[in-house]
Amino acid sequence: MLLPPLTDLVALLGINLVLCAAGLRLLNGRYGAAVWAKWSTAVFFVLLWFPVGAAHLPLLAYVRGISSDLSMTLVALACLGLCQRLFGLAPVGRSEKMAFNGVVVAAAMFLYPLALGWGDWDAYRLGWGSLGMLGALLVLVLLFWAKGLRLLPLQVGLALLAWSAGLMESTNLWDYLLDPWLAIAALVQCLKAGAQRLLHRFRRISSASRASSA
Amino acid sequence: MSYYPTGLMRRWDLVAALLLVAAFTTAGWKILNRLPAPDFATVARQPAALDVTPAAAPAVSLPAQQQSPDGRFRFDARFVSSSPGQAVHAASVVETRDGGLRAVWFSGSREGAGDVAIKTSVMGAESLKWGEETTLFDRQRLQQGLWRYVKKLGNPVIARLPDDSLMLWMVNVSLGGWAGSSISWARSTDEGLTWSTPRRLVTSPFLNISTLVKGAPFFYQDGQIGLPDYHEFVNKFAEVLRISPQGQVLDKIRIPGSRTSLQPVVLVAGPERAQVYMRSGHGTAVMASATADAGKTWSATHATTWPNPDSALAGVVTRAGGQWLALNPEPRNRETLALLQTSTAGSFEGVSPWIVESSPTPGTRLSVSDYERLLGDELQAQGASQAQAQADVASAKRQLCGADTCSQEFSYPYLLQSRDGYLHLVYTWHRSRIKHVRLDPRQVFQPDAALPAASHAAPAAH
Repeated sequence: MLLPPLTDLVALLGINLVLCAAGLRLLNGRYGAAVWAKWSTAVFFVLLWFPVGAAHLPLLAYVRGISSDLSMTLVALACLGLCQRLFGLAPVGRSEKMAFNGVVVAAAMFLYPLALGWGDWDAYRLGWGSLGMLGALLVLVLLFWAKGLRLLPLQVGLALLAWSAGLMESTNLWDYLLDPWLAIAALVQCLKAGAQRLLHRFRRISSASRASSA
Repeated sequence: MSYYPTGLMRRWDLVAALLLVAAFTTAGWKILNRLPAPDFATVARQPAALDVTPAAAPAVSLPAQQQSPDGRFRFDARFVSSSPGQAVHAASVVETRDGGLRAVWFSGSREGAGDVAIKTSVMGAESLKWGEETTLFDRQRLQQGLWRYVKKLGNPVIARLPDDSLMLWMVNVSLGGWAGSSISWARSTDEGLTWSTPRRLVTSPFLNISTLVKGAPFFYQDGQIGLPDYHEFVNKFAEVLRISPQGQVLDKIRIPGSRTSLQPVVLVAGPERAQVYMRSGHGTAVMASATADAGKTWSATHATTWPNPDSALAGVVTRAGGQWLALNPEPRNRETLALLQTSTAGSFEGVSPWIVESSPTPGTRLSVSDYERLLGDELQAQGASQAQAQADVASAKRQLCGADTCSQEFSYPYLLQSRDGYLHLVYTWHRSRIKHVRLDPRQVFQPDAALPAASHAAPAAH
């Protein structure tokens, strides 16, 4: 089996890192990781490269057929998660995460309906090189930076550098910034946070009413 | 809440700020250096190979010419595919440097099966006979080239690029049905003997699914490629991809109002003018749109007066400036295949169809025994052995027959003009063979009072 071209190698490695990060999270919960889980993840990482089937493709290539290529943003988040659990890197703050997830969900709600045929204007076209899109990203990055939030600016920076270097099969900037799996994960996080906030408010109200009736 | 000492944070902030400046600067530079969309190349400026002197006139006996079903023009016809008993579909064709033809199509046990492969055959410039078919790409080769799982293969489109190489685009699916398709491509610099490692076009942000190709590409003046494509997931619509000479997507534009229209065919009429004709996904009428600014904007899609039974079209612009369409002109079936002709940027409304192939019993399904006899006779007349004919008839019956009756199908046309001026039409014959019709577009089209022009045409539905 020959070494894949750079863009394929980047795509397969990205899928591998995301799967490993997800696996480690499942094995060890939110933070930290036991030694056995770290070794299991390392074995998992290697196993996914083993060629199987008539085409002698790595297992990752079969996953890639279904998942398609993952965005640089999702891969970077996976790397961050792996570093937190494997090397004890400090976790990203909750406000950083929520602001980031909100932007991802908003971007997905803007992009996907328009790209899939809702109307005649295709937002995906912007990703092939639009100064307007670059300007919008710059404004977003500056806003986040001014608020002291660093996760989104760094993600946008990484995606722009990767797009400029042509590291992925796609030539469209949107594919470096966003993918449906990231959008679903962000949506789930937003819904979860919203539900927690509602539950918290409900508990506060009910405990207050109990206190007043007592 | 900060997790780092203040000094460390400041240092990281500086690194992050520098990274952002570098990222926005390089991205801005890339955007400013993006290839602009030039004007269209007209037919006279297209592939360099067409400037080469064509091969000498054939010295061997040519296939016998036959009358069209309505007796109004003459052509010769032969089968392209040779492997018996296969389900074949979606042929396209390109002229070789020596004046021959190379056709590609997909073939397998059934459409969408895992054994479907992209097949090819070459027609000799002098013999005008098609050689044995061979496999260009099968699922395994495509998987190895793309480094991903591929479930099935579909429509291939072959074309000669302005740099004289051959390009093959092909539909492939990793997930779901045809709505899960994407487009891969490979290039050949030796007339199709060997092909580059296939690469994939990324054309959709949603898992890169649901972009398919059927129509012939056209070219821009600087060698960029315009590839008509269509989308099927959630909504159907037609688009045009702008692709760099190196094969990478630069842009795409949606044909406005093309909802439910698909398989666009672009006919370039001038440096800035072109028409696009589309299959109607609702089986109503041939849909159309036009551009007057080299494809930067397209007019709203409208219905033409030609009916369309939800079937594919093909088109070509000849070097004399004529425009041709190939289509199924009956409103509810694919049992008639016809050509339409008009002048540059003219209208196809009201023109007389050149009927290439039609059912002997229009509008009526044949009994299975009559169907077997009809197909068997034509196959054997074209030189197929009895065993081959039986296998092909069995394949056609599997796909087009019910318990007692069968429908006939002449579909998925593709048009090309060769350097000697002949028009070449390849199409699916009863889903079991690819057929090639060669005709001289300069011949006199016999008038026929019994066939009023476009008498079938539906009222305009603009």
